[in-house]
Amino acid sequence: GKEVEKVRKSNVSYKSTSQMPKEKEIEELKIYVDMKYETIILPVFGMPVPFHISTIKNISQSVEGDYTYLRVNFFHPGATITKAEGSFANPEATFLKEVTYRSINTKEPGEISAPSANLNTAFRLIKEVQKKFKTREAEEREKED
Amino acid sequence: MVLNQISKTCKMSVLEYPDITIEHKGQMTKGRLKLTDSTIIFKNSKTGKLEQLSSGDIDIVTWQRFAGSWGLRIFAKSGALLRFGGLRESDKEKVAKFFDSNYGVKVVDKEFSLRGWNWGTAKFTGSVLTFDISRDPAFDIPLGNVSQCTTGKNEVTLEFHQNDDAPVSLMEMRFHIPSSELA
Repeated sequence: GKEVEKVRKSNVSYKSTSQMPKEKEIEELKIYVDMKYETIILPVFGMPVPFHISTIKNISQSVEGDYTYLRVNFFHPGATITKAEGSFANPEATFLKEVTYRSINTKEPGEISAPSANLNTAFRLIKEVQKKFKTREAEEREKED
Repeated sequence: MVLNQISKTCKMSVLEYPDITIEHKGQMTKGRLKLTDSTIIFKNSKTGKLEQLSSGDIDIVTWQRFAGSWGLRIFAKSGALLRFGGLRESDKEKVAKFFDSNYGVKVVDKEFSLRGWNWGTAKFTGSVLTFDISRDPAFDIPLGNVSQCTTGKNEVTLEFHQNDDAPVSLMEMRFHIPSSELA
């Protein structure tokens, strides 16, 4: 049998700038979930940065006092048991492991919704895309076997 | 009107753009950008605060996409990073020509990575950490935003100063550093 462990092909979010969605949330440097390309776009110091859903291990949300927090955990070599070391395309790279965002829960006068609404929506949509992606991946694996 | 003004000022070796943004603590803050024959001046329209960089202090300038606009990424010789958004793709030629003829600096095109990967290389340029994915930058972290930095086993955690003016504020980033780089 084959002894070399199979390295899964790395999913790519966008092949060119023209594929990037042009949404208001992105321009306002909020979090945007692109259902079509299965990608979440996170604001990092002025830049909207795409992360393919396959890089995301899990997410969590919490409300503490006036703030809502959204934490995104990414797959990385080392601690994970869910993904074997060999399945990383580039285990010697530096990996972004985790990002945490914070938003205020209260509305300013004139605001339609509190800033934290963006984190709530992102949480719900990321879960949705993740579920869709995992289901499809499982189906593909079944076909391969 | 605006075009007329620009072409007039251009002859005097001044380029002015009234609706420009500057990256500040993760937000793009509005202001006015003025390029004179020797200085880059940005005036924050809310606070009136000036950011200035004299042409001799410019190190590297790249042209890049921002959120919904285009703009300049300027590394100063001091190691600081100035990023101006709010320009259009069609402004590139004029801006590049101005930098070249007045400052003797070439404006280089820089594509940012859209691959969507969370692995790459952390590179330092002055006081900026750039995360490269397959040689293209994915994001910049001006290190003045870091409030605390802690290291663990194969791990670096960066905590950032909070910006309550931003709808979503980046609090923390954690990186996995391969063992080979820790040696």
